[in-house]
Amino acid sequence: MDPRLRFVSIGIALALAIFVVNAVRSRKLREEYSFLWLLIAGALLVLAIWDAPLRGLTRVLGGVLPVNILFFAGLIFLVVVSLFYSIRISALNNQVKELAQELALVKLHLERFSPAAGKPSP
Amino acid sequence: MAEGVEGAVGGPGGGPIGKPGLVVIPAWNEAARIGDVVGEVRRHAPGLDILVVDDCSQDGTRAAALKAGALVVTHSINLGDGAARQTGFKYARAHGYRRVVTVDGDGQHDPRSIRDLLTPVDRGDADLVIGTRFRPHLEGARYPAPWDRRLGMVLFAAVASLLTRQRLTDTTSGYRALNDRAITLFCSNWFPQTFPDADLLILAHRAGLRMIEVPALFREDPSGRSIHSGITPIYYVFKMFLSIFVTLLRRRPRPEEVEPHGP
Repeated sequence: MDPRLRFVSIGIALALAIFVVNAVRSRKLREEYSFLWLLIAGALLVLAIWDAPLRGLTRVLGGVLPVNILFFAGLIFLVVVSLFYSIRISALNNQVKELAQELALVKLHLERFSPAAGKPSP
Repeated sequence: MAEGVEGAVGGPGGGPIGKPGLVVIPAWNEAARIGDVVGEVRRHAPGLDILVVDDCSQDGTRAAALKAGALVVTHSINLGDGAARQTGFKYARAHGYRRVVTVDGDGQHDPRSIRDLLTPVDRGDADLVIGTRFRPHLEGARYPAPWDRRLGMVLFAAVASLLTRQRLTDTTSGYRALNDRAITLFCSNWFPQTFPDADLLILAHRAGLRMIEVPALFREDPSGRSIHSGITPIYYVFKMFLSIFVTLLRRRPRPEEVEPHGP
């Protein structure tokens, strides 16, 4: 691998790791989600320093260039991640709906049974 | 919220319509018409309690409904028509109502048919009664719709009829009556949140609920707006087929899941 590319790759991997750790530290990212990104940063770092596994994989899969395999793996990874997020969003949607319904019913209950509330029941 | 006593809310319904029941009116930005709808429901279904589910309207729907004397439950965020109906069912369940009628907040449903919808529920002939605009045995029960919507309605009526093994003509009708078994099922997360239409009827059938269609009076929506406005018919068709498909892939709801006093 060209030393310049290696240098840039190591830099990106380290920056990613630092960014993720910092996001967790400042509570912008939950630990559960940081795990995945730290794993990616680690894999990137390993491949930047030692690319034999990537070359081996390229040979086994019949790829022409190691970089193709890298892009391919990256693409699959991103598809899986966004699918995972869709599932998470759906779950959150449902939780928000349940909470909003419950809140609405509790508010109505309060209005009707607290003396300060406006209109009594019909 | 578990007083759980029948009629604890508005007192038992005295009037000619009999036992206590709840009319659920989902409404979103219907300030101009919700007052009339509530008033008409009260006139034609005296004795039933009226709950308007205000789905985070921005136009004073809540105030108008309160002024008309309805109970109003207000979502803090817009959840959509299906979820608004379900909030009403959850209220009914928490307060021990054993029959519910849903009437759209836009005045599309003529409250004179509430009585007809409740009759099969009261007789114990059905768990879910659907008011249909396509069995035109009623005077004035004509419903003009654009051809594309009409095509979709016919398509899903055919699919729902096939899968429930009974003739259903109006799957998109929101004019329905429920007994406590249907209320229980619809309070659970089996209830389709986005458009509880054909998929809901198929679910009800799979849960073993008995359904009956009765002719009901509909009015043309004066504003031309509908719950499905803003949604392209193509999306609706796709979404509904998908929803029906996954409904068929899921297991059937177990008997205890429609048991009013079950889990």
